[in-house]
Amino acid sequence: MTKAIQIRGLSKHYQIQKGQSFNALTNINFDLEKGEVLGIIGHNGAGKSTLLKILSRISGPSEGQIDIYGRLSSLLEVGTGFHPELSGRDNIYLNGSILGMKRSEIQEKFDEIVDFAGVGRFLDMPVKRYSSGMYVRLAFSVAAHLNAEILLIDEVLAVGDSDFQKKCLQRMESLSKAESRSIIFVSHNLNAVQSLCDRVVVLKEGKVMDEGEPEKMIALYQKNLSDLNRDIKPAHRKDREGDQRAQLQELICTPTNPSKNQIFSGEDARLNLKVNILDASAKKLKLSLHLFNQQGNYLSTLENEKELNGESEIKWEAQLTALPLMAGDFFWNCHVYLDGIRADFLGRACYFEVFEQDFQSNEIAQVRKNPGFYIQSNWK
Amino acid sequence: MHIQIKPGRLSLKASFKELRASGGLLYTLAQRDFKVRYAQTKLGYAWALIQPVTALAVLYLVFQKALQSDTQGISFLAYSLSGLLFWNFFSYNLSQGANALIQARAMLQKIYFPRQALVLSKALVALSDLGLAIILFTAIGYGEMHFSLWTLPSFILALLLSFLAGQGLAFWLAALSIRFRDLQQIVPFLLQMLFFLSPIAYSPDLWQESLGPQLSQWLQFNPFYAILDIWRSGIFGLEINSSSLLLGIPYCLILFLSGWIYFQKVERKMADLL
Repeated sequence: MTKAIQIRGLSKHYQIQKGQSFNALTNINFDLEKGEVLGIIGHNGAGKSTLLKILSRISGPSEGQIDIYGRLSSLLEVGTGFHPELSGRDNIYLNGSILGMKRSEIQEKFDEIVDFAGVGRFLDMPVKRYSSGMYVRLAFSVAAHLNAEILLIDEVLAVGDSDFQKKCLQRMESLSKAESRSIIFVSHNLNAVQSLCDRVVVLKEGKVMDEGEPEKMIALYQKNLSDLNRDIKPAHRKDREGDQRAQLQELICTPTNPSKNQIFSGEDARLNLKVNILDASAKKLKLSLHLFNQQGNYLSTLENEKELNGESEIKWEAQLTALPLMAGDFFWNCHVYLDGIRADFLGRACYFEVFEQDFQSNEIAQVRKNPGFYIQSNWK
Repeated sequence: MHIQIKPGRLSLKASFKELRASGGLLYTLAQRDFKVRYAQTKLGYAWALIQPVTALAVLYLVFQKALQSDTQGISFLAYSLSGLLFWNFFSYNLSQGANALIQARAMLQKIYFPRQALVLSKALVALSDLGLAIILFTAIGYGEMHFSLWTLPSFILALLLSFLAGQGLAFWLAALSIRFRDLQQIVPFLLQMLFFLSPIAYSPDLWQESLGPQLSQWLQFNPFYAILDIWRSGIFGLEINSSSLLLGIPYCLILFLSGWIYFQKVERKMADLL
């Protein structure tokens, strides 16, 4: 097979402050073969968008070399470069030439583009009067008819209604299969990645973690997600959000009965947490804990609040009576508010596992790894 | 087709080649500006005439009626309009070009295309205004024109030099304004000062008399000095100052090339800095 893109030793550093730099990408190496659809998956901040920006030449690399064999176009966001005052017709030409098409090529494909978008009647109306659906359809349609041999696609399928999304997926499939374009596809939509891609690269913290068959890589990614930040104590986490006037230092979930070292369904458990308050003038602390199961499905919320008098540290303990959860893996997301404004947020701040006395009773939930509530029942 | 991405800027040759390969991009961008410019205004394209006519009227009141400035024996309206023509072309290139990157911020972060096209396309819009202004100029100043073999070359040369100087400064300012937003505030001010320092509605000889040859030399750093000198020698048959050709041409070329190179240097970092 011949190569469409070859990436060797690619790194990108950002200067944050004087003397401090951040490595968004470190020593990336992989190839895109001709006619192949390559998926790139990874957590937020794994370096996917940086990689796409460098490949599409929006920003430059710090080290390394990329060789691109063929015309490349990127659809990092559909509709960029559309001008609201101009008509649909003018915008097709404008967007087409910004995306790298020659005028003659646009002319040639014009009818196809209009047909695909289904905006024929509104061609001479300024796009600012378009509905958002029409706007997005037109934008994707221009992009989907590019003549480039290599396409970079980022989350564009997250647009439009489900019918149009299906149409977009089909169009991408026909681009790669019938017209043998090479595509790099970055998405959070794992189903789309699975069905479209021939091969998948998993990025983690700016490095290639692994590459291979979509199914295996998606499994690897999911397993990795389920362990994200599992071993990092809240006090040491760097990926915080909020204005940081307060910081969650500790959050642990343990069985109330000290003789047991595991949490069991329907038995009491205990939450211990510690929050540092850095803003002495804050009047009120509110804590909000969101409970999720290992699939990332939201289950419930716990909240508590307290008036403050200049304390710099708050310790709380919560008794969770007869914990109504099925056996499985769970985690808490933690929001801390000071005077109604979010001061701190930690996703997956604390993991805990729930066991069942009788392991056989919930086989299906175990197999699907999608545990829910545990309802105590008495049958007669 | 083979593209190689490496750290550092593109070679000068590669950047020109890329721009050429971008097809109708320049033209399409200019068309966008042109169409959007007068969209939803009541008078529409008439503004392209109203503006120079009003400016001319004000200049007439100030420089002719109030100050009775010397215009080298040419009637005031024809003389100052001959200057205003190129001034408007130059200042449109400069002011619009300098803002082009900040304006297109969203696009710069999402799509790659030769960035120079954003600045260069402004020249095409300015050219359409120039065309209209020339018709006005011919109508007003036909009687004073002195046609010779030098007329057409002088026009082309003046146009080329205003393009090079305006675009060169625009490249510098556009690239610098990504790091220093303050420049956006400075551009209108800079243009205003440059306007009064340029012999548009008065004769350059006035400087010679009032400042002496020593000091007035420094005024040559204003690229507009040479441009107007060349053009007026062609259209009115006035005497040309040899330094306009000897210094003016290389000066404008250097402005353009240095601007282009600096712009390219910043180009790779644009998306990170905006």
